[in-house]
Amino acid sequence: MIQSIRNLTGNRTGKFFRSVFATSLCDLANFGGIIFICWLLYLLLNPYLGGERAQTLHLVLICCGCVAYMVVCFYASIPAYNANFVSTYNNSTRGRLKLAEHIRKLSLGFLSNLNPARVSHSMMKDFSNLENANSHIIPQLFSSLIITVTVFIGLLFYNAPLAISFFCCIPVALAVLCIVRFMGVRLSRNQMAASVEASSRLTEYITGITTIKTNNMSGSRFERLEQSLNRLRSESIRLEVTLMPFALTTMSCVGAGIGIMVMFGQYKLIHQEISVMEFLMLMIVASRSIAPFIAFSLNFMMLQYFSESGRNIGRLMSERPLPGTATELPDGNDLVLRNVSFSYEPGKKILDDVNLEIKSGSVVAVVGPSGSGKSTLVKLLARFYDPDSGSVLMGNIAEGRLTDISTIDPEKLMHRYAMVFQESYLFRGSVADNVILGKKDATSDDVRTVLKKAMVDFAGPDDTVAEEGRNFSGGERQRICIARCMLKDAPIVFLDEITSSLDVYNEFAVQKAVDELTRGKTVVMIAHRLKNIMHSDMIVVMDKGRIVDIGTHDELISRDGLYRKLWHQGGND
Amino acid sequence: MVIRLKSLGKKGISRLLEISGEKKRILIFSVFLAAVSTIIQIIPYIASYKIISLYIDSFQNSVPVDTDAVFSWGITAVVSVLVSMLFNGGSFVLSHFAAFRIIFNLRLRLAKHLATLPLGYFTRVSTGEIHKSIHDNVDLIELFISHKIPDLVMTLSGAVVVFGLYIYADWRLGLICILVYVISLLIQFRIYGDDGVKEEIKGYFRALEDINATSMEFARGIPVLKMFSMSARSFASLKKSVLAYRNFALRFARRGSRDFIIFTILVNFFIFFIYPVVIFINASNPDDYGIVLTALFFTVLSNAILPSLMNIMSISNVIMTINEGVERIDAIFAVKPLPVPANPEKPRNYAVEFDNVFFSYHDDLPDNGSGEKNTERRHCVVNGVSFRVEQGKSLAVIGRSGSGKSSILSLVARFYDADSGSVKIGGMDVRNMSESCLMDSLSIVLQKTFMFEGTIRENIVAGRSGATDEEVLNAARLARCDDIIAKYGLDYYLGGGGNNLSGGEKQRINIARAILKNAPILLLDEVSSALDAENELLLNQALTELKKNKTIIMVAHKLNSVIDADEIIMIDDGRILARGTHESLLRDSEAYRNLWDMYVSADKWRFNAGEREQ
Repeated sequence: MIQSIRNLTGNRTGKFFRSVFATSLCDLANFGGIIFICWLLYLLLNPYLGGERAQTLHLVLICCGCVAYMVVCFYASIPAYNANFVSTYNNSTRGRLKLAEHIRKLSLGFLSNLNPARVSHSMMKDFSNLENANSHIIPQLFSSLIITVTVFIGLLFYNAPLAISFFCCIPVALAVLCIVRFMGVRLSRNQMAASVEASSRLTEYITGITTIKTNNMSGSRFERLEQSLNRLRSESIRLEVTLMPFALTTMSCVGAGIGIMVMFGQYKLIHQEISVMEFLMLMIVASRSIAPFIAFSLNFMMLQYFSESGRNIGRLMSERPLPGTATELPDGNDLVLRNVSFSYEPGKKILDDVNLEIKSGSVVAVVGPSGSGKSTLVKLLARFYDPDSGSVLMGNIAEGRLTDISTIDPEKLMHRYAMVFQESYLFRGSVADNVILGKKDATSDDVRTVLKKAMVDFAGPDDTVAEEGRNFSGGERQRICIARCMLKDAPIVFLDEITSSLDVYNEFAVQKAVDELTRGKTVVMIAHRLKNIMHSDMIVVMDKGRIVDIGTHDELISRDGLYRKLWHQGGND
Repeated sequence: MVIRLKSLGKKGISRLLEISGEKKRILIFSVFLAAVSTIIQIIPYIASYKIISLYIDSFQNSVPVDTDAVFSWGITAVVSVLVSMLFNGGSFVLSHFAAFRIIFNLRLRLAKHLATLPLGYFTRVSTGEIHKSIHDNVDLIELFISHKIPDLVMTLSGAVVVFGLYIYADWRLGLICILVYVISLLIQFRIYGDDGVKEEIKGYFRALEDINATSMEFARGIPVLKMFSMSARSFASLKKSVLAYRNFALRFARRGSRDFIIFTILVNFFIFFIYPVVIFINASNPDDYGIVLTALFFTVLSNAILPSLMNIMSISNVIMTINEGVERIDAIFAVKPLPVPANPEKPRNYAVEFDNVFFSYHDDLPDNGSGEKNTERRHCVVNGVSFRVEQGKSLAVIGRSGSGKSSILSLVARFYDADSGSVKIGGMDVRNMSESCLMDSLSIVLQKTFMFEGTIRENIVAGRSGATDEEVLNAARLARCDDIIAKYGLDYYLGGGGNNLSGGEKQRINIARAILKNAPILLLDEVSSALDAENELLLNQALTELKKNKTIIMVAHKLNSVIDADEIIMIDDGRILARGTHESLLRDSEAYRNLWDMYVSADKWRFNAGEREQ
């Protein structure tokens, strides 16, 4: 629970506890007002039980005192609550900005795979939950706990047996709560499995509805869905009904306290071990503390839910950024992979002890069956990730001056790279806004030149780009991205063979643009259509995470190896 | 705002009850039990009051206390706790039972409704959104029905009964209590009535939404910005929205906290307000202790409803949540299903004809928010297209993306209905065919393949449930799937999405499915993906097999498909620019010649060719 609180408050626990303490005092004061009421009731009843009659003036003064007390509570509470809000919102603002700054520094590989919705969900919902927890749940949790404990201890002094009779059920309730949580995990396993299955059947139904309908399978697929929903229903009922007696026990333990205390109290009254007044006062004070205890248990349960938000944020924060601080870039654009191994998940090696030398200015194509690791190879060269073992080096092979790129500041390194991959992101703004990312101080002539070279004939520099570039087709977006890279004029270009899934107009134009972009540069390309890359300076053939052959097309085709096999499979002669 | 909340609540809750359908009675009964349980829970408080009043009476009347009566009140207190627990349990079981059955039915009805919708709906709305509505939002409704409704009822019934008892015991004091509580509610919720505050609330929610938007853009754009060494830029706009939100939130909280504190204090102390009156009455009539006993009664009972009075705050949150969930579900029900023919007929042959067809996307289909990239669906229009494909002949449709090519395929399959003109099969409008008859006559092979959770055999068989293994293997052979069957076997179980197979393998299984189905008309979208380049040879052979003996309409991409087609139509902006055979178009259409040159050039393109030649 401490960890939950730490997650929720972003580690500023000292200041946090001070504001919680202040609001707890206010709540305690609110509760304490019951003293006035008890006092009045005592003075009013006393004469009828053989005691003295109090003076009316006395009573009126107490009333005034009560009103004054309420006013004091009001004025004292305002700063406490405000301080709480201020610290809550400042904390969450700080937390949000810290998260954003942290994300900025993460590896390209992680960021490309990151679902943006997850980030915005954390930024919005998770931090909102934290705010709620900090401003309401946690303060109420503590204040209700303090009140309950204070009342209990106070009543203990007043009349121990009755106090115990009222509160005796609470430990029972807490014990049951713990049992429920323990058992709940086991019991809910079946229900969760049923829920997951129903969810995936539903996804299948929705995703595949076109195929389902065109194959006239609606009935049978629907039946499968219905079955899984039915199973979910019965498992859910089973879970709730099994847990029900426990949940009820908890709920009634609190209410039971009243009943038990009355039972016990009347016994003591009958046997004259306690006076009527004592019974009365105990009754009123004790029964008033039911509300705080209920508040405590409700807030305790909500805390579990909200600390999930804290964990979500924690998980994002625990992703490690890419290291590297050197700001000087190496002399030379040769690239070397030395004994590089890499896996996305432990145990599943994608690259296994790979060695490769790429001389600057050469055109390299990486080919291989799917799953061979070709895109991973290129991603490591582009520093989407750092290798698990071995190193990626840049520099001058001939003169033996190579630098490990993992020591270089990642964004500085990017000055040497231009990347054109299948998915490229365009911003809301103008075409020129997007292109100028390549070079901040480019003139509008520069922009126009690259737009022309990149075959961007469908839009002018001032035309609008909608969010994500949605107002353009895939091929058009790619050409704008190519223009952007042209403006950057980086010496090394990474390409994913991009003319797939385009219509012929786009394919033709993109091909021209790519030719312009890569003129005179070092190019590393992930290739799919072998006939397109047959003129490369060097073709790297990969299979199952290893490089199995290197050479030109003519060399490779003459060998009876994987390359020849792939060539024929691709429908080439 | 309170009033508005109430009217929103009616819409949300009454719609919910509508959705509940036949389980309404169980729900109402469960609610009844909850109310009874709450009322019974008040009894111990009354019991303690009774005991004390017995003692006071006995003292005043100088008679010994009726210990039996005292004892029986004690028993009553304990028993009523147990009884209330039973009623609570009963209410709990019933409400959960009803809730789960209700959402089960609701989900089925939603799924059934989805099946009647035009298939075009699913290309516009993301799977995630639909799934969220059916799965998560419905879950929220379950929570609401099984927990919140009983909760609400218990809160209200407790408060109503106690206040009722107050009025019954002494209407003057009762009125004071009610008045104080109502004033506290008005103070708490008055800020919502203020127009200035309403604007602030709107601003608050806008600021929150803004954080959502800027952080999405931040997360999406960060990879690109990093590639261009400019990641600090996007951060600035996110920072702005975060700070704006904070300012709204603080302003809002500051306004609200004062009223909230007053509310809290008034509710905590509401019972105090009867005492000045009690003191006054008692002072003017010292021998009458009735009023003091009444004050005692009021005070003891006030503790019973204190939690309920404070709980009123959560009710408004809950109502707002439920409204959102119900709205989303209704949005799905509101989408109109495809009209079904009253007297379905069968087509005489399998020629396909477009007769002056006009079509564009309508507004009743929700906007595509999923970011799907194919722009053909965006503002695509079919503008008076007419053609005829005889049975057994092939038609290639070519043109730029966004020109309307894929819409033609969609219209034949009735993914949408044409706005005007008619789409005919065998001389009969497709709207006059039953859905199953139409689907039986079509094989549709698109870019996206879909594998069911099931064996490879089941995936090839799909709708043709009577197919023998021999027929399945034959279809697989023709679709060049022998290597797949050899590697995995017909009984190999594919997970959802068929992720164990490569893209090219899935394509070939898809073609096997279409070959087995052997429908007379083939709709083919040939846009090829890089992923199956390694299977290109096999894929081409499989497609050649598929195209035998069918009426074919295809969006063509491969050179051979264009040359071999019986007729080609060139589409631009939804209109037919040119039509004819490959030879006649080469001769007569400059646009076609240009396009053909592009095809050839793209096919001949070799990367790095220029460098090599130097």
